[in-house]
Amino acid sequence: MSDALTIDAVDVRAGSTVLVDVQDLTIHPGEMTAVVGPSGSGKTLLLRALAGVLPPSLSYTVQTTPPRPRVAWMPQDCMAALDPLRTVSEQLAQTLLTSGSPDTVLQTLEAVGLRAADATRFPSQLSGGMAQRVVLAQALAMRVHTLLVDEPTSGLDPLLTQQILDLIAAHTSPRLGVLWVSHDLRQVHGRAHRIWVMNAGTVIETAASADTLRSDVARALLVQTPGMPQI
Amino acid sequence: MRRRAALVSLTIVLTVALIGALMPEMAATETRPNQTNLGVSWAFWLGTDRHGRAIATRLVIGLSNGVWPALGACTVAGVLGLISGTARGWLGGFANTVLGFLTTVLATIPRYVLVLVVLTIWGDSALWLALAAGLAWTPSVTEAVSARVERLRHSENILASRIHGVPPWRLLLVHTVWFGCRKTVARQLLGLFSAFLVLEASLAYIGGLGIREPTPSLGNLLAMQWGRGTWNDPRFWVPAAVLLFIVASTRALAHQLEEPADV
Repeated sequence: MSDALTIDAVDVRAGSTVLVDVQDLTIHPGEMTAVVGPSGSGKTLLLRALAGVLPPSLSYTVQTTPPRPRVAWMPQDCMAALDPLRTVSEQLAQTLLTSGSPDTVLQTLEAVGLRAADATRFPSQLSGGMAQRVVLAQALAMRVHTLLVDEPTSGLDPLLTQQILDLIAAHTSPRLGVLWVSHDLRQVHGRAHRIWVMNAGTVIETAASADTLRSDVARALLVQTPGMPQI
Repeated sequence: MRRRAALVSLTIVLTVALIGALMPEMAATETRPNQTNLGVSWAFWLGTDRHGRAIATRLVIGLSNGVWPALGACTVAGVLGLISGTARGWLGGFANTVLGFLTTVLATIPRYVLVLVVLTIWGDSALWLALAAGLAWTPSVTEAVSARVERLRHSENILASRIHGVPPWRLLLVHTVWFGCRKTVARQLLGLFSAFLVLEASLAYIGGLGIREPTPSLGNLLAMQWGRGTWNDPRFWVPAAVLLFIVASTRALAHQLEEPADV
């Protein structure tokens, strides 16, 4: 059985207003698929719909193959995604227990570049980069085939940004596909195996690299990104 | 530091209340016709009242008589408020509408009026006072818990935990209620605790309601001495000072438990 996740249809609405309408796309295992687009294009909504974490004020339907897939999710604000009253070790142990993973907390921490001493820390004692790593460790500990990553480097400095993205890329294995929302084409360029360009709630273009993007929206994004080859 | 001071103060109050509970009630109600209105002495630390009863003994037992019903009221409001608030915040929809309506109806009755009505109908005792006060404060606990649970339910932390495989019962009971709401509930109940003692004092003063003479309580001590003492007479100001001390300690501790996004 293939570990690919096919998005047959995702429809998100606020009342009668369609916010996201995406069809027939596939997240392939072993690949990082980047979703780019201007602010308000529906990137995060698409990701949250796939994760099943949209606010109740929005109505949505998600049809995938396989149906109801187990996914892991790295939200934009990783610090807020951690339980402020439990240590890193307690939170990771809970995820490992639930997923039935044979790994230990220490192994999971080491896999994302954290030390044993970090296990006893509370989220308030972590830096932004460390919080990202803990949430990534939690996501990896779930042993799922799809990892949904929402702007994983917002608020991080360039060095940390590179480290976190390299870490995610290093864990993208033949069993794990990553869907990664980003607003920065520089980050996407050279890392993503596929790029989906979103605008007004729909995917208007897919490409294998930033160089081959042709839509006006992609052109506009490239123009705003210094150092990127212009179309 | 302030939190520790408030905790130490409340521990002292509870310890004194426990000592009072272990003392025989007779010690506070025994009258001495030939030893009335005595001043401070080694035999009577705070003097005696006009019936010859030892004020210090009555203060300790009276504190106990007020603190235990106050804790009873906190239990009633805490249990009812936590259950209804959690149901409203977690389930939302129809449950929120129905429970919200009931809470609003109860909240429209002024607290003192509700307590007076209950005492008038069902009788005048510490038990009914505790039940009535607990019921009267339930809406505020419900509202606070409901708002917090509602906010936590949609927080990134709970959503991420849900996706990361934490079972729903654990998300609700451990993450949301225990870790998320305990400070909110504690803050509400600390407010009720001090309000109950003030309520009891007020009822004793306005008409001998609640805990009735000759059973001692802070309210009865204040009502007995009010207007008869002077500020250099400890029989007059010590019960008032104890009441103020408890109110200040509970408010200080409640303030320390305040969270930025709390209701």
